[in-house]
Amino acid sequence: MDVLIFIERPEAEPSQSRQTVAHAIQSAGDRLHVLTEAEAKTLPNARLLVKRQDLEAARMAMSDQERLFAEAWFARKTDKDRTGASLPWDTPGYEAP
Amino acid sequence: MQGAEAGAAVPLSARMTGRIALGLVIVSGTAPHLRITPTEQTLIVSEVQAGLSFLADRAPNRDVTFVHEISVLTVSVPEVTSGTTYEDFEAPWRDAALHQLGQPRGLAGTERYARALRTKLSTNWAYVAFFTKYRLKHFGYAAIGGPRLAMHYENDGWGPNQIDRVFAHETGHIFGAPDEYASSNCNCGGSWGSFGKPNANCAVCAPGGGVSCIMRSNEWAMCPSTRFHFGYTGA
Repeated sequence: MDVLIFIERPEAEPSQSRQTVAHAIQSAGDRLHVLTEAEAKTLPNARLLVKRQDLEAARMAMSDQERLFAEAWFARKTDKDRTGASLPWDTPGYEAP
Repeated sequence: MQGAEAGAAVPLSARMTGRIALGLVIVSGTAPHLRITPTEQTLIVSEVQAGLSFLADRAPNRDVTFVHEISVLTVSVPEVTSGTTYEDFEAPWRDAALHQLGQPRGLAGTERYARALRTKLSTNWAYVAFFTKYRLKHFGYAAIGGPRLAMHYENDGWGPNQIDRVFAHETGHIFGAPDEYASSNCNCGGSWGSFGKPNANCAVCAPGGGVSCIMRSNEWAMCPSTRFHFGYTGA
């Protein structure tokens, strides 16, 4: 499972942690990263933002851009109603991208 | 999908590998119907994250990192309501946004912004995604090879809650992948992406109309042809 982490002072991270962070699939700047939970748990100075309370606790230390990225991560919907799901993009009634 | 653009010598998005900078630019206008609310901004970023997670998760070696640089801007230019080209509709609000980002206007300014992001964020590749409620010639489009894609918040009949898949599709164009649905007039030949592979999953000519794939249909699916077109390591 992928999780969001926040590293408040990335410049202070040991090189091993930086190598782990390099495996992130997404990042916002150099302080917010999306990693596997197993990878995230090896980082001693990272805050794992798993629950909304985790985000609230870290919010004050974040920039506006970071807050937006983190809020968006928590707003993801895995089970949602999708009109036209599985249909070819050019199905009649829809515009193809 | 738009045609290829004249680019500088060093490509910005040749392969979906390594670190990739995404300049995500959310552009509101001052008129009420052009405002993108904070809730809608969050939805856009959330949908983009979902689309990029799909693309990164499908990388065979899990060696892709999308690095976001998010800008939320408001410009005060009138909406273009009639025009014939993509540029007619896009240029006014895009150029005003680029100005706020300290860049010159036009696609040249967009490319310059992407190059600046690549340097700033120390990435291998970079592209720019504009989201707006300004009227566009088409609700979502990108140029093969970049440097930008543009999407309307409403996302046509697919709706804002499916920006994720359309965004993944358009990002595919940025990295060299062609459309695979029949009305794109695709054919099973050509030389696409950094590996120069034909468009073998084109619905017009592939056996059985092709297989499920993000460049063909609205689903989280990746096919061998597109994997090559994206230029994934280990494709």
